[in-house]
Amino acid sequence: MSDVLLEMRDITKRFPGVLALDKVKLEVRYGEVHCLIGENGAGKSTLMKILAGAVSMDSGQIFLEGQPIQIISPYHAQQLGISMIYQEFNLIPYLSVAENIFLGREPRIPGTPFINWKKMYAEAQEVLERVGLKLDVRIPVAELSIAQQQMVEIAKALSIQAKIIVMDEPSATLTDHELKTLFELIRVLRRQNIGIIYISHRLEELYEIGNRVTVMRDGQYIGTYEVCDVTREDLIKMMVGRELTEEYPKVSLPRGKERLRVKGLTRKGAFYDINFSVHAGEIVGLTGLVGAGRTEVARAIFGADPIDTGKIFVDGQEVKIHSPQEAIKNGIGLLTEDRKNQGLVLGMTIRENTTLANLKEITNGFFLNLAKERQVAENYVRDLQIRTPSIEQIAQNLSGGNQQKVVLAKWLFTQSRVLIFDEPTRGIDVGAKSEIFKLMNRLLEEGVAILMISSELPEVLGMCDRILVMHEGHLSGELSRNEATQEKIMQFATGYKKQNVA
Amino acid sequence: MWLKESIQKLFYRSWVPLTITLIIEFAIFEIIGRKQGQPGFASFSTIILILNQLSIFGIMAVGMTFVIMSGGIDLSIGSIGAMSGVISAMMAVHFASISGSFVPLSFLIGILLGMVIGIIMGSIITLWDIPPFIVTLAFMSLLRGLANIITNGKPISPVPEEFLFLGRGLWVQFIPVSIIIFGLIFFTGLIILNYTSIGRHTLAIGGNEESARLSGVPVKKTKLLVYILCSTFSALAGVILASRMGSGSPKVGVGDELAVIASVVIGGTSLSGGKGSLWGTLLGLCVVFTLNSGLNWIGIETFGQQVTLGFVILSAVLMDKLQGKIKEQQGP
Repeated sequence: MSDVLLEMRDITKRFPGVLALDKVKLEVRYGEVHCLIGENGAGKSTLMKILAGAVSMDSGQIFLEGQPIQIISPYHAQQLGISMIYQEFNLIPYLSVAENIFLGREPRIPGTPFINWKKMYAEAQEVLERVGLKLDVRIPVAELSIAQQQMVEIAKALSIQAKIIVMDEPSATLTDHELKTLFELIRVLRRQNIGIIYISHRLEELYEIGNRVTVMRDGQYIGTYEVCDVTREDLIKMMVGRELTEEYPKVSLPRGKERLRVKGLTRKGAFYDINFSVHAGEIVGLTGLVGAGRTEVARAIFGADPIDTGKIFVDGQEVKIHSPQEAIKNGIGLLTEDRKNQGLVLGMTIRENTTLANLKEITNGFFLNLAKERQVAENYVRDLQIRTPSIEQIAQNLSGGNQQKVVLAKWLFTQSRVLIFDEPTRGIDVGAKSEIFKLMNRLLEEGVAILMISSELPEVLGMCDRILVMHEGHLSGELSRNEATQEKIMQFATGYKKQNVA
Repeated sequence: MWLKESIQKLFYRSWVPLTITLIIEFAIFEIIGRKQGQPGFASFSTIILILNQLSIFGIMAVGMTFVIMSGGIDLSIGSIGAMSGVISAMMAVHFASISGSFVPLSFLIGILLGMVIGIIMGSIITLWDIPPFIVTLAFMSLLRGLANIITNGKPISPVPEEFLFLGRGLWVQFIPVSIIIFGLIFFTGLIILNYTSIGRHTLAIGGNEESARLSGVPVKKTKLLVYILCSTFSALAGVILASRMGSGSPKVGVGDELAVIASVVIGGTSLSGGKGSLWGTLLGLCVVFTLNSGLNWIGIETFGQQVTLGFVILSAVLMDKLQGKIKEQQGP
């Protein structure tokens, strides 16, 4: 028996006007974690959709366990033993864990159309134990954490005897601890000879869990390597196709005057007595574990959620902010963590999204000046190098990096002096990341103050002038750029050492 | 290959299939009419006739397009129309007893009533965050009942001569006044939708309410405005209808909301909000009302018309789905 579980050979897919995949190949061995990397738009998801039967290929061959196969539908792919775990899970929130695992193939009481609940619960329990999850299979999925939901997805894959499990950005929404559990599970799956295709933007994960890695760029196959034979720098170079000068292009500017100060900011149940300031020309990082209250603080400053007590000062003046409208009037902008659901109106064009927060700037009396609006949008597209055929492109069709730039354009157009970036690089590939950072630098030079919320410690350490750490709703520490290390941040973030913040 | 792609592209523009449908409708009814010895369906006078019928629904449909684009729905429009028609006819009778020249004031009162209803419904929807489907369903029943109670279930008639102008009057001898009013309302709607921040805000809210709110869009204010707009236009339509019928009847407009919503949806406005156009609504209205008139023309009565309308709605939705598929295939 050969050790090759899956082979995709010369896969080609053409969309009108684009060659999405050009003779791409991929080979996965039994019990291997095969990482698939590439920038957004490189063709990873199209390739995986072909494997999952969601998209048909124009030419090419697929072999599973040495046999040529034709995958005709997602259902067929499942029957063949190919299981996909997407970033947005395919679980039904108000059905129980067991019902989700056996959805569409519930065990019946023989000879009747009725579900054999006893058997279903027992089997669900058994398969959950295989992934090391201990919980009642009768509770609805909506009550589980994101990490638990992911485990349920994996359990579901196991229960259909998957030979290959594709994981698309499984780590994006997990905490460090949850990630460790996931990796443990992946190791267990490997021992059961299951092949895993692991897609991630975080290169460090690939060294921790991967066996081999395949790099794609612009619909082309670049190469497959043993993970231990290739450096991080080489991988980045292959992905972006050019030398990336700096991952974190930090510029240090003299600290300007104070733009934003919060004093005693409290919302019960979310955060307590938060004090800090952000000055023109500096990036202040706000970090901590997921659930520490960082996003809540940002939303409160922006007026999206109410505060119980506390004061907000902009340029030294106390301001009352009860709604995003008032925050915008005071020159504050928020780039939300969740671009798709909170940052953009996906069905609207780049042009419409750009001006949405400041329509009055392009209004003459009662009417919108559409010519001026087009001009504004054109300027930002050029200035921020948003890659799009035109300003009339629907935001939905843009890549993550370009969507983030459109959100940025929106806030630039409001002339914001304080910008809050919540997880600005989540789901964005390496090349676009460094572009976003460069844009931040430009803003600093123009006198903007930036508060950056991030869970990615390397990026916090790489880009911030000062770092605030939160733990369970409280500020637990502040570190200057020079004294900050991952270890110190983690100590504050886990509440290991508490210290008063000036 | 090239031809196929360009046909697909053309098909993807939503006005093309509707226009083709409209032309086919005229052709079919003309042909069947001729076989029955009754030519002349495809003529200027039929078009005016259709437009005249369509104008009252059209005024409601403009408001409805805004509501649906914002992600809401208004089921009360038929009842608002009836209520406003009744009140306005009562006022006309009252004013006529003083002087005929006061009668136009009755129109204004009917329309203002619609505005007030819109303010009440819109406030309930936005202040307490109650689904518009429920609120407007309640008002549909409530207003219908009130109109019947006020009139004892009987139409207000006769009405003074001056009251008939809106519904039966002609402009330069042959164009009905109601078509002119519809035209004005339509273009006002078009301007608000495409050239003011209100229109842009409406689309943004329908597309993604949370994103809109976090972009500083006055969500509650805009939603309130949209319901006021729809109620006011519906009241205007009701007043014109009462004027045309020469009586204020509490029974009119039952089921109008369905015909109006159907026209809007056939015109390509998405029921989930955020997407659509008034031109589409106009085409949708034309398709629906040409169908009705045509079926009348060849002697198919109400029940058959209802069945046919059902099929038209279904095929419009299927067409939309098909367009979505084509778009998907064209890739990102």
